Amino acid sequence: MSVHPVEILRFNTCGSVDDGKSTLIGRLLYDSKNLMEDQIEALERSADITGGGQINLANLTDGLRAEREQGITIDVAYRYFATPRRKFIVADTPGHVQYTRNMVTGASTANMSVVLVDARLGVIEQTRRHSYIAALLGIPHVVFAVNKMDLVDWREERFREIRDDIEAFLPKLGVLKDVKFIPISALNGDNVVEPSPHTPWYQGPTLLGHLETVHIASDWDLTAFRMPVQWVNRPNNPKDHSLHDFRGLSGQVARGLVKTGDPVMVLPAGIKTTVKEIWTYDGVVQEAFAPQSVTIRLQDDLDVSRGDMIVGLENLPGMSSDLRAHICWMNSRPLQKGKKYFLKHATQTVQAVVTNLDNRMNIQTFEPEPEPAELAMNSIGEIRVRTAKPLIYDGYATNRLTGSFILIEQGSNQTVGAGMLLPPTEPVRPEYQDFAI
Amino acid sequence: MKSANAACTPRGVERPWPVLDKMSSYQLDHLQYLETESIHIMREVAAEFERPTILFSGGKDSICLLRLAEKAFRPSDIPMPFLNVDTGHHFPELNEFRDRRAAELGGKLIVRKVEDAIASGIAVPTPGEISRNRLQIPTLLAAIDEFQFDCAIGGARRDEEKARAKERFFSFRDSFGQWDPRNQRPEIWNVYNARVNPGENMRVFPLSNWTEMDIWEYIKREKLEVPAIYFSHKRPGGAPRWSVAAGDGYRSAEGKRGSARDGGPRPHHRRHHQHRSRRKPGYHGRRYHRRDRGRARNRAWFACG
Ligand SMILES: Nc1nc2c(ncn2[C@@H]2O[C@H](COP(=O)(O)OP(=O)(O)O)[C@@H](O)[C@H]2O)c(=O)[nH]1
Repeated sequence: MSVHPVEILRFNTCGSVDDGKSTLIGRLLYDSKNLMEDQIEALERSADITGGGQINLANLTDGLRAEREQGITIDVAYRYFATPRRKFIVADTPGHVQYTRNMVTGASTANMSVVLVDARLGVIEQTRRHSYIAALLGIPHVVFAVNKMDLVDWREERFREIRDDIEAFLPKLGVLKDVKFIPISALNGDNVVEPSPHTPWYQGPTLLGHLETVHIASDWDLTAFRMPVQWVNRPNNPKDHSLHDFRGLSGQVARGLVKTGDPVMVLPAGIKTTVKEIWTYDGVVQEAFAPQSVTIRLQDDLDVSRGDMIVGLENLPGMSSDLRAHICWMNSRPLQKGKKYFLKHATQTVQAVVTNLDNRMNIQTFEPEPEPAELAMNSIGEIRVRTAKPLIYDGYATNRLTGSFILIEQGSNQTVGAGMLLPPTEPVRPEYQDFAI
Repeated sequence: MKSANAACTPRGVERPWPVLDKMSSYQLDHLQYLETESIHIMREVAAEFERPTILFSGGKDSICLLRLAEKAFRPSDIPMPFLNVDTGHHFPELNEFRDRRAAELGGKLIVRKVEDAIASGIAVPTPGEISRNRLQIPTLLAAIDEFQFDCAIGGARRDEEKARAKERFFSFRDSFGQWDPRNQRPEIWNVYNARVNPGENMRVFPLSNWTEMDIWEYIKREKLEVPAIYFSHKRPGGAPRWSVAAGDGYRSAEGKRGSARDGGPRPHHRRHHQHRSRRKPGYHGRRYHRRDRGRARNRAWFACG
């Protein structure tokens, strides 16, 4: 067997309580044979004891259920499994209404959202909420897994009905690009790993087949280069004399790609220079792309520090202290107008004040409600923020990493909000900045 | 293995898999993805904390952690010291490896011994307690206090046990060194909140998303030296078995089965019960009883390799 590269696909699962989320994840873990054997043995023992002979797949991910029953903090749990083609990181987010913040957390790093729908219940409020969040967070791929098809006798009409209901509201959400519908039974495994004999009318892939083959290479935007400077790499008294003048800018490429010799601009200073060398521990490379972590050396010895951004000259980002953003509120102390927070964006943390609450999203109707008094935990709305220093940013819909920020409460240091920036009204103007050189 | 129900038989894994087409050159494979994520986190630590440290046990996870530190910070020096809590139950080969590796990296190595912590009353063993797992915690907290560290990077992974599945990359500890689930911060995108007040600190786990398999694959890809003692135990069948250095000296908690194909580890073939009887006295393995969960959770981050 030849050794071939294996990619990682990250997905999150969402669904209402009892839609079969734990069963589905358990099924994927179990069928992909990646369980520790002792866990399997324990399961089989309990299956023997409880009779029926059916393994309770939901037990594989039990923690959350127990917590739910006890009413303590519900949270995002991460699980791992692999097939020969891909490795998977699953963000298991509990589905209860008030846990919007958990879904936002789990979805923020996902390539794909798997939204479970109970075939008997069809589209419910949670389905709309999850779809909305998936769209807002710009998840590139969404799957609606219509579960418990065994309980509706595998009727194609029921599946179509649910699909039509969902497709009816999807356009209101705008940006969902790749949407799939799969009829499954998580309990019995139909269309999860193997095609089901019960759905001759369904020609599409199984859920795992889709997870393994969906094209994720272009989930990273390679069109315009951005690298927030994370850490200035300057050896202290190096033994190797060639390193005496080494001054590198370390960071993770957040968007696009850069090559040695490329002209770039350092923001906020607005100074143009070129890339002299792209340094990595494994040697100098000719190009770097998102999301690689590298160390860039510039042709000119400029004063660059953490929080600055190195960008390509085409497709410049925005630069402003007055920002508009969607925000998901994550704390029990509500967001209020006029309150000061720390705002962390890319590698920069600045003071910020929320100057206005423009609206709050009503997730039943997908209609914004203007000028709310505050945003409570798990609400999503549009706000205006003023920062003490300008941010160098893209719209979130263009690029997640340069378009997102968190708000941190002063004093407690809690992370209280997740912000998604609206696109800049105009790009930063380099001609004006040229005078600075 | 017996299956309780035909519907639950693992399926689909034996069928012939299509060979993955060559990946585009602008794509990272799984180890490169995990690597860049971990490097990003390490650099955040270096940039945001005043006095961070890296916990180094000499175990396989912390061996990877040090390579990632090199990748994050070279050609500069790694901008934080290494901290080891020595239980006194370590094999001498491990301590030799630990010292040598730290010296090779040009880093400062701080060793604090459980023995000394017991002698000075910082760690109090309960009568008959042979394991030093639990006693590592006060020893470590005392070291953090002594050096005023505001952040300790550890090698714990989320796939180690169910209780860890929700652990954060940046795991907040109050001024008593305690982990409180209500005080953990949501982590969204790759924007980590590293703010702590004086006296509080952070545990950071750059390997959170790595599985045990990833660790072995990375060791192989990076040609990392693993102390010989890892290979010195033979399982009954004769195949080498990895043992793990975590806290309580060498544990045989993790089986490794040599694979004819590439010699790589196959963690899902682990069979704990086969070597349960071979544990050293005082062994408190990774499996713990339900009621110990809270304790294990506290201990979990500590098992840094
Ligand atoms: N008949 C049937 N029952 C299912 C299916 N999937 C899940 N269930 C059952 O639905 C209940 C809730 O499932 P669970 O996975 O715990 O739901 P969760 O709350 O979303 O995690 C359990 O009793 C499952 O056995 C399915 O495909 N068919």
